Amino acid sequence: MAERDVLEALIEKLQDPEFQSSIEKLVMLLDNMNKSGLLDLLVTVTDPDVIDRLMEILITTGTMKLLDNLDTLLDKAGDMVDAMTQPAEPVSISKLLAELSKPEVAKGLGKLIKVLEALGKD
Amino acid sequence: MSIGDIEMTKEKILVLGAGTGGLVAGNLLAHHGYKVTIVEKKTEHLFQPGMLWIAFQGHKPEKYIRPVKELVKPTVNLVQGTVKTIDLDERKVELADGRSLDYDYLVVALGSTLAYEELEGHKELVEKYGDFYSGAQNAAKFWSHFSQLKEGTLVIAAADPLYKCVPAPHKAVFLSTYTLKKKGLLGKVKVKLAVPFIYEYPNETISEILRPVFEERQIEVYTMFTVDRISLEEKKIYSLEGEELEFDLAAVIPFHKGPDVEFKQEGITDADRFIKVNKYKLNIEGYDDAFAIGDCNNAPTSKTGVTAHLGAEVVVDQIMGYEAKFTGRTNCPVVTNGEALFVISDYDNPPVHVKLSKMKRLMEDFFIASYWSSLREPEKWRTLFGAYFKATEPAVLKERGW
Repeated sequence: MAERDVLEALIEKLQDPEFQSSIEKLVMLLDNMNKSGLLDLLVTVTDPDVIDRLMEILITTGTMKLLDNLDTLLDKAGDMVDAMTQPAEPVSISKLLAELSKPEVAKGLGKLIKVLEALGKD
Repeated sequence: MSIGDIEMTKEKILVLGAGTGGLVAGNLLAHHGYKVTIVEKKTEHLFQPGMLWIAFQGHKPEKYIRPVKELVKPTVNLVQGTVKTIDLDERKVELADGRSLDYDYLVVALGSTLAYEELEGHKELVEKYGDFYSGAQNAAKFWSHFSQLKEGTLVIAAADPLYKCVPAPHKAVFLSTYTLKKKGLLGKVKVKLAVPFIYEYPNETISEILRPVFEERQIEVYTMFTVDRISLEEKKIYSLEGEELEFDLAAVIPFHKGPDVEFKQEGITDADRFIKVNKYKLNIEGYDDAFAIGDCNNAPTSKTGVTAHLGAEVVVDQIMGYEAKFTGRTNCPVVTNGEALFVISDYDNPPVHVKLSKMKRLMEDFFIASYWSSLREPEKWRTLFGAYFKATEPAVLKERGW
């Protein structure tokens, strides 16, 4: 689009009350962000060199795996919250051994051992 | 990126083609201050995977089309014309209208040519139903037929194992069955996929991952089905192996050839007109001032937008005097609709084990949304894309999967 066309399209858009309301809110948001110092922080963080470094730190094989399994992790977190908010009896060693006969508990322990293995890796 | 901050001699760059590779190479070099000319015969650029969404889900073609002039940086000299001959010794390119252009560095990014005439009955099939390879209009034409299909058989086939976007036929059956399921027509309309491979996908690992989806969607897959001819009259596709498939609606991925241009020098292209390149440097064999990127070269990797984009970056770095090596990296998305996976491989590693996930589908949406900006302003996306490709390197993922 030529520069003139872009300006004309923008002027036309500015006539739209819905767009005017968006602009007003954007100006308010900018003002709030500036007063709170958040805008200064964003200006710093969005410096191209800072972004480059951030990308290198944030986008790794581990984060890609984490993101890919986020839905499963959130489901599991929900299940854990359910379990944690339910009343539970104290468990003795003999009770623990008995609990291990439950397939879910045995499987859960297996997964915990896998997590421990991963944590123990150098 | 600190790359490009160094002041250097700005040679004259000639880029042939304004597809993904040509635009990324041309715009990146222009960003670094080179004098860039891009030659393109079309006035519009089509986001090619969009044809699948037009053909099988009825998306508006406009969503996937932009004028080429909006995708080049203001400093790029965009020449509308058809490339006729390339003289690599004289560093000269002649256009069909007689204009002649010279260069210090040449980047050939002319894509591949769809050879519908190679297969008996293919042209007639496309003229009648359209398809999802030959342009947005033909994809819309296919949708006009597919959206009317209430019963019968839809056949998606590939004429030859070499075509751009390896998962395209698989995406076609996944997207079409999703549409049919939504309309309550799954089962009434049978969907059949015929491929010239041993497995459903040219790789066993990916085939195993996709197999449950084929089953769940009731998609019948015919492997080792090499299309021999199509009869529109009989509504049948015949294979070289002696099988036949009846259809009410069909799309067959055409044979692909190299670009339709003449090289003044002998032996530049292979038997199918693909330009012979050093697979790591992407320079045209025997020349260090001429490169061929994307679908038009004979590098032994998939022909996709990602390989064109990454190839363009490698060529730009070399022109700028940096060490750079093309790894043949692929990142082909297979979209089932709600989920997706990426076929991740390179020259040294076959596709790694990846699972279908909703997050990968979201990432594919992100890649599609960033497409236009990544063409016009590739320099802004290099860090993010670079970090992604590093984090998902096949050599790393092959142990862990993704």
